[in-house]
Amino acid sequence: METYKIELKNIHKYFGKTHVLKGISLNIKECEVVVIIGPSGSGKSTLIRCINLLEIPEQGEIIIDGKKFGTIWDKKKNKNIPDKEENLNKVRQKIGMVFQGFNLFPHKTVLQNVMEGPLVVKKVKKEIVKEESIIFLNKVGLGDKLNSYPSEISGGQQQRVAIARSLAMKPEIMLFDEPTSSLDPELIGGVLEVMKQLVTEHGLTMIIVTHEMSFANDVADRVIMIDGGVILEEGPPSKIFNNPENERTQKFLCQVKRVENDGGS
Amino acid sequence: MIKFFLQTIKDFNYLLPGFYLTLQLTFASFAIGAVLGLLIAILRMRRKRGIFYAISSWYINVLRGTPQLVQLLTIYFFLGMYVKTTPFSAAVIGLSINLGAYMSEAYRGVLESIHKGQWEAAKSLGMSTFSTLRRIILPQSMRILLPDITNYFIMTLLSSSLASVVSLRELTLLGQSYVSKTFRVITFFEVALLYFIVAYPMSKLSNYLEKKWKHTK
Repeated sequence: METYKIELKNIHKYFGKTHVLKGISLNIKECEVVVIIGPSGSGKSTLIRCINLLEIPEQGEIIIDGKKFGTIWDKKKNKNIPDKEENLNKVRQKIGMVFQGFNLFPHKTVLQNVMEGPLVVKKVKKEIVKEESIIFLNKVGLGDKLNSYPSEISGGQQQRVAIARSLAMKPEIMLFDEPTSSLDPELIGGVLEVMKQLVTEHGLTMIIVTHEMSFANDVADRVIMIDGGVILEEGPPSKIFNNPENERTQKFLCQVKRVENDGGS
Repeated sequence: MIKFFLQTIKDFNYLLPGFYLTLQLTFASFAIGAVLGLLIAILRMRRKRGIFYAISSWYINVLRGTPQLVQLLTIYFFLGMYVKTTPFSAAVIGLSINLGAYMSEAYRGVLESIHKGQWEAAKSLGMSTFSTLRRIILPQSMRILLPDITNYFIMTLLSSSLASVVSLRELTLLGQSYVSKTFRVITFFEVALLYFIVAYPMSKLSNYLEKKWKHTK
């Protein structure tokens, strides 16, 4: 039997009465890079947020490294309830996440932001954390901004700090939730560059929600198209981008292409 | 002229024990009230129904909807019937539970105004709720709240003069009794000055810190 890094089994998520995810099942191998695409409101962000239990799916299981993660089935309520916080946090340490809105800690410097996780959660010695954090910040090209505050650097730089902050926890899985969607066009390239570097150098299992199709084409092992809370189509990027089978995938890709052309890029 | 100075020094000398007592009362009430308010705010934020929420809502409503003077009198005389209360302990209880009610609402507003992305970022690093509050949410809240907190401190200092009604010989009551003994009405200015020299630097400090932390908000 093949082993998977992440297994999602029949995930259902509701927001109030809205049924956002309608039974998504997905297996992801170690070191695989999966890109999730789909129109806004399709549930792709919700799906990625379920993987580290920022959203608790009412039904379904998340299995990481062969172990069920985060939810306990409550027979009486007939839905999942979250596991104890300690158990959640143990697994979350292995899963890095980068958000659309960066979510850097504004009261801490760039260096302190990156040091926070290892220092507080893993309780590593301060000198060691500092040394490693500087290495990670150099890697994302921000070695000269150590003592700046997030409000003093650009959005693209903030997002690269956020990536370094996640990497500092030495995760095995990285989740990217539309990491470039709130950036000005000229700042997107730098962030994508760093992400590409991660793919080639680090051997992380990565799940990326993005609208950057040419980037997806370059890095993805597999592309997954989601709409209306279900997986419409999946396959290698060459197939999805060149010969999509599903009609809605074709339409979506057409629209994205038109926007990209209008933008002159 | 020299006589005037000597007399003034004598006045202050007489008022000094009251001034110390006022400071003790203020610091004790402020410390208890601020912690109480914070605890209530955090607990109310985490669960928005249930018995605790209902009780704490009433606590806040009642204490904010009745005069502080009446609260002090009630605590001193009502509590005094059942437990041994000194004027000082009654005053500390009265001032701190009043402050707790006001501050819990101030805290709650700010805690809820911190973007939920901050919680999510901390969670995704594997941080516990307690660490997140202590290291991420509270420091940011304090920076926003600081001018308010300073105001609450000044408010506590000034309303500590109400403790004179429970016969605590703090600054105001001491000044009053001094005036009735000596007919030196100017003493009230001296009493006011003693309050002012504590309150004024506090508000200056708050302005300074507010400016210093501006970019980290």
